[in-house]
Amino acid sequence: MLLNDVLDRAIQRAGLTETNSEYRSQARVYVNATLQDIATRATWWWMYEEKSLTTVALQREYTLSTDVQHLLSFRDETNDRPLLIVNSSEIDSDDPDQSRTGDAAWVYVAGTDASSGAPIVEFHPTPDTSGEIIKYRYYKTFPELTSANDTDDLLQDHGIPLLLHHALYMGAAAGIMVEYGDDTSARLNAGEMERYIRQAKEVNGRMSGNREYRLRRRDSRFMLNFRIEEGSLQ
Amino acid sequence: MAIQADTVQYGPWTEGVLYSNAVEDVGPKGLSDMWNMRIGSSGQVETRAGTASYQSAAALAGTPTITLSAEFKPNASTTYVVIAAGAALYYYNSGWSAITGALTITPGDTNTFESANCNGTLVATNGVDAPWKWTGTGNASALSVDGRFTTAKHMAWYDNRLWMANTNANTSQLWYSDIGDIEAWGATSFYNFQAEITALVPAQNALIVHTRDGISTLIPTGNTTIPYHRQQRTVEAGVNGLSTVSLPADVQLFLQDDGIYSWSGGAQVTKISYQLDDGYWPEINTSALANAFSIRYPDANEVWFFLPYGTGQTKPNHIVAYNTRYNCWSGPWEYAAGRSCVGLIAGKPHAGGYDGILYDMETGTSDNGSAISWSFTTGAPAPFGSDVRLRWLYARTYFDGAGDYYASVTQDSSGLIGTTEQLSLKSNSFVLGADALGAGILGTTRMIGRDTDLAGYDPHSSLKYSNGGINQVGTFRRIHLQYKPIGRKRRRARNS
Repeated sequence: MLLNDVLDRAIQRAGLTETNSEYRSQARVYVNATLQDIATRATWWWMYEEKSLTTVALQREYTLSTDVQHLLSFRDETNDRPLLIVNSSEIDSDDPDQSRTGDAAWVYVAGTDASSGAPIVEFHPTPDTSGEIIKYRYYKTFPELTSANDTDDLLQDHGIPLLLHHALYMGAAAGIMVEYGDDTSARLNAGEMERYIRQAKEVNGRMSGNREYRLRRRDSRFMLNFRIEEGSLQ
Repeated sequence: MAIQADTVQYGPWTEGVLYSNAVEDVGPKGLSDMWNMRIGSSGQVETRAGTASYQSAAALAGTPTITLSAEFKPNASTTYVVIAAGAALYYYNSGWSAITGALTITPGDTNTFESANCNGTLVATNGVDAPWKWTGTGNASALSVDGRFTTAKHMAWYDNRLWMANTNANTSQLWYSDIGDIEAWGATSFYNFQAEITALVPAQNALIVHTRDGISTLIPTGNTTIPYHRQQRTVEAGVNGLSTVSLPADVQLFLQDDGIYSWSGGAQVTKISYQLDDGYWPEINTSALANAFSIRYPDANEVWFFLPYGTGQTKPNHIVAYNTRYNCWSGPWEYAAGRSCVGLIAGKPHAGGYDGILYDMETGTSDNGSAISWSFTTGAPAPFGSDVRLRWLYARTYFDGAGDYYASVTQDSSGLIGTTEQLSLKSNSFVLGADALGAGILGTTRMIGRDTDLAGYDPHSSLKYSNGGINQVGTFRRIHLQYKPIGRKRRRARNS
């Protein structure tokens, strides 16, 4: 479904004229609001992203993608090894003047880019070789859709599953109707939106296959450790 | 689940069109705008009838202006249709046959004739040429007035006498013939008025004389020495004779610069066209109002006023119709080329053109083969008051089934962006030879109701119905607009 289709349906459900540009702008506001709401409802598989950057010799600081919400991992693809995401204080204590160079082994978040707002990371040691590929995975934020996105296919261009397209126009219609005061119809549409989101969350949980999840061995990595408090068993 | 909605009904529109009101202040029974439509006998709004050349006659050679349109019945069994066109007079006899004879008829767009059947003799005068007469045989000839005057602008047949006024010698003089002899005029058979005479109207028990200074009456006394009692009734009167209409019960309607008035015999005249003020009348070219004329159309319970509409417009190109049943207005109806005169022929108005054609004004569904573009706009009353926001849902329109075509339905209000939908006007009846099984709609030919979407949130909503296709007329009975009351909500700066 194109964003235009979502706008059409939202405006129509709200009982307005979909050809009017002012109503389309109004609907786009509520589509964005619904999208941000949905984005926080679950860890959506379609919100994972991977990008790469290329090292420059003796350049320590790199700007990531603007849609990074939180980082998941870094890996040095060129040298076939992972980078650890650490706290800046660990680097400061390890190398106070941060003069060490070599193949990067750690990465930490140093701040945001002043113009784009994108996260800035620094590598440690400072890479001494240009052209090495560092890949990073992250969970993305969803940017505000504008009129420039009206002809975007929400599935193909933004990765939003079809099921949630319906939630988007239901939610946007509800938002518009609240604005105009038709609370009853707004509640009906909001209810429909919730139904689609529930369905989408179910599908989201099945995305990695029909596996059963269970606790790992006590001595494996990343295990959860349960400890029974003494005297708690009766 | 049924739609939870309230409804407001627009129509039947017995209040007619009200140009003087804001759309929001036009009630459910009124229309805020109308174009080439009329209020019908039961308050329906319908496309006005089409026009066509009388008896399909071709335009007269040279396309002269028609300056007389008259039906003449010299006796109970004979009827003639007589016209003046350019420099000639004609009657219809399987085509226009000239009866001008030796008369001189001066061509001119405003040389419009008044006429009357004077007990078997047609007499006409236009204030430019000498009065003439025609008995139905041979040619027309000059009417003898015993040399009392040469020309007269106005005339009437009343109390078995022929009356002529506003002569070449004296614009305020009213002459009358001897009883039963329209060509015998006594040397003192005249009345002097104090101002130019603008119309003569025979009524039940009086001859009504309109002058620039007011309306007077001449009431027969039965006394041979003083045959009429003259009395001034008002200080206001009409513009000219062709724009003064007599109705049953002796009510007269006439034009003034600011509108149309009625007079029923008292000391006051009453304006009846307040509904046309502001939104319509200011565009009337009042400097050419003397060219306007009117006619009573009994079959439709209407009085038609032919008016010059638009800056610099001298030819009457609009009709506004006063509905005498509902005391309301229809129109305007546009005839771009204008109409020059009118007469009632076979019970229907027939108007002359500036193109050598006498037009039957009530026939068919096109204007001599050209489409009649029509539209009407309802009022936009607020069912819950102007302070309560409504969500408009849909409109159910009841109409008379017509052909396989559509009316465009446009919703409007200052607080919303309305819809434009297409309403099929097709009849429910299955037409043999036109419809196919599985495609045509089976049903009776009763009033049909169909729905169109509405949109937006506002206390008010009007609907405009329109069509510009040839032979695509419409008759609309009423409209039900469904809405959902929202409540009182403050408006934002933009549309809501």
